[in-house]
Amino acid sequence: MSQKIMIEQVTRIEGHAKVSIILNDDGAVQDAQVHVTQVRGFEKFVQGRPFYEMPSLTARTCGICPVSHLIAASKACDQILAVRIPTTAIALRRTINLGQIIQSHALNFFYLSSPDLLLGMDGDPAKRNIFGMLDKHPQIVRDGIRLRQFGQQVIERLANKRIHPSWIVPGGVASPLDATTREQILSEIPEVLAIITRTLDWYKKSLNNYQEYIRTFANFPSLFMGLVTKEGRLEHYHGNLRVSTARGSILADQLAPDEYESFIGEAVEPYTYLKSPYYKPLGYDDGMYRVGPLARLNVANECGTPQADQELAEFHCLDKGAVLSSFHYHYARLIEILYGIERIQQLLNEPDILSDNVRAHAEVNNLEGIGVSEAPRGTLFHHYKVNEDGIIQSANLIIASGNNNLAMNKGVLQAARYYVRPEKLTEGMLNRVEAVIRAFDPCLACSTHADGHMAMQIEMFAPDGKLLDTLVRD
Amino acid sequence: MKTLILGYGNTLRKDDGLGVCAALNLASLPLPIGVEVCTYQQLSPELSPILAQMDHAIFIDAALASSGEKPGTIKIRALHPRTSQPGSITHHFDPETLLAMAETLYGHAPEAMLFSIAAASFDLEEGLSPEVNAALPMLIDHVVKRIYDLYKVY
Repeated sequence: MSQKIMIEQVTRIEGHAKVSIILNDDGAVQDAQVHVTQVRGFEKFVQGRPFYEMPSLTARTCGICPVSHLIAASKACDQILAVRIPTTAIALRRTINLGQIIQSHALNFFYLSSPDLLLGMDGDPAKRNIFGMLDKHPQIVRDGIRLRQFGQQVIERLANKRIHPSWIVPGGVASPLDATTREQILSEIPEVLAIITRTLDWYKKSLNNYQEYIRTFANFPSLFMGLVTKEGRLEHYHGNLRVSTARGSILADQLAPDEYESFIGEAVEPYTYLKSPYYKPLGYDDGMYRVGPLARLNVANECGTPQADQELAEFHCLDKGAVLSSFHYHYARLIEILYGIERIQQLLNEPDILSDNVRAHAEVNNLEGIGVSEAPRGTLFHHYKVNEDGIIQSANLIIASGNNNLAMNKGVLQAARYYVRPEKLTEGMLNRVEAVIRAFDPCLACSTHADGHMAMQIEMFAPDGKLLDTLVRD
Repeated sequence: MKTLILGYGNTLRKDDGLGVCAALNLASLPLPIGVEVCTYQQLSPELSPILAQMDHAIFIDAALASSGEKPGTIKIRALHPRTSQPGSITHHFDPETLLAMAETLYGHAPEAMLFSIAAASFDLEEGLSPEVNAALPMLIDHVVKRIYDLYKVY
């Protein structure tokens, strides 16, 4: 009879999850599963609501990435209106989306993951957090705070609210950008560019310290998917989807996001509320793909901004084909922060950025709308069907983190097989398993409730059900 | 002299919205120049550089009623930068941790006080409970008195 080790709850992630590590009769790790344990039910309870409420309703899915939901929802509603969005509104939506990506990536890298990187996977768990870094690494903490603050301020300055703003609306944005706000943001660009540049320099020099984790943290072949421009550039707002292979070749290109149902299947597993999407043409077993910063940089030919392009060229040299280790999500996040800052500067210097023409108005002209964008954690799909009065009849959401579900489970199994020694569990072993999940930066709050208690308990049972070992983190 | 009044909490969780409600009330009052009022759903590290620029900070939050304590009880206490590790850190920080971050990272922590009211309910509902609502004017009076004392307004 098999045995099972539970990691409950997984810490320093967005939302709630627990991990089961299943042992075989010989005591070796046989399987591992990431359970997302609470259901949100947005797809169901938005039925019956007017379509124009969808951006604000679905933004409540998450307190970390509400802007992503606002954008995907508004894009779906744009299709229902069948209007042409003013170019200035598109530039402003792009800007706020990048502000969100910067703040979210900074949160994961500096607040959640850097304690593992700087204090060690075996460090005292009570001190392995941002507070524990104050004395030894104050500059890193200051840099993280400043980058996150910059991203949040971009959101707040554009939308008058840091969390759950209602500025992005069907048809465009609610109000134009004023010159003072534009200048405020632009004036801070040199400072935050300097911060991310020195962070990247430090991180690249540190990579040698993490070779073991690079080798063992969800490092396996898979597909990668992300939006790209027609030229194959990095894209977070419009564009079409590109799917590339582990060898780095393009498997499918310029897939229309509106036709996602033809190439993405949505499987459901009994052990988790998170969907398990897969690339349909290859089937469930072979169609596992990864999304998010690692995938976006793998599928993109270039970024389109000077410094980020240099960094991307270096990044692409990490492996012969695609960069396969999910540990490199951290590296990719830093490059995307750099890109985001440079791109915001470009967008705010566009000639029409202060135009008053930022919203198109219309009634219901289509009974279906699909909005797709790149959220910090990957590709986000919102798909609505409405009746002639604009009342939602059905909604389908594929949340960015869900796209990574199959890969995250496989990654946890890989790490568990490498690190977990069931004869004597240590907190450090299990932290490494958790750190694999952290590398993906899943936003489980998008599919679960996060009520704040992040204790962890691990139990190992004998085949007869007898408790062999327990590890508790308060 | 610079003072930050910081009301925080979740207005969708009944009495947890106390801090935001009190701060919005205070923002509508004629306060001395140099007093800034802001609201947050949660405290986060990005507040530490802002706190470091302040001479005084006033935190307003709902409190769990301790054993035998009546909901609506007003509590006022001085805050000091945390010197030991907090119990757990996720996205939510307590005021003492933020003060420690302000002091360690930016070289200065303001003198700080916490004004709170023991809550009756943290249920998923908007609006304050009758007990906390009844105590709110007195809490605001206490905060205003503190401001007047600091700025010597009589």
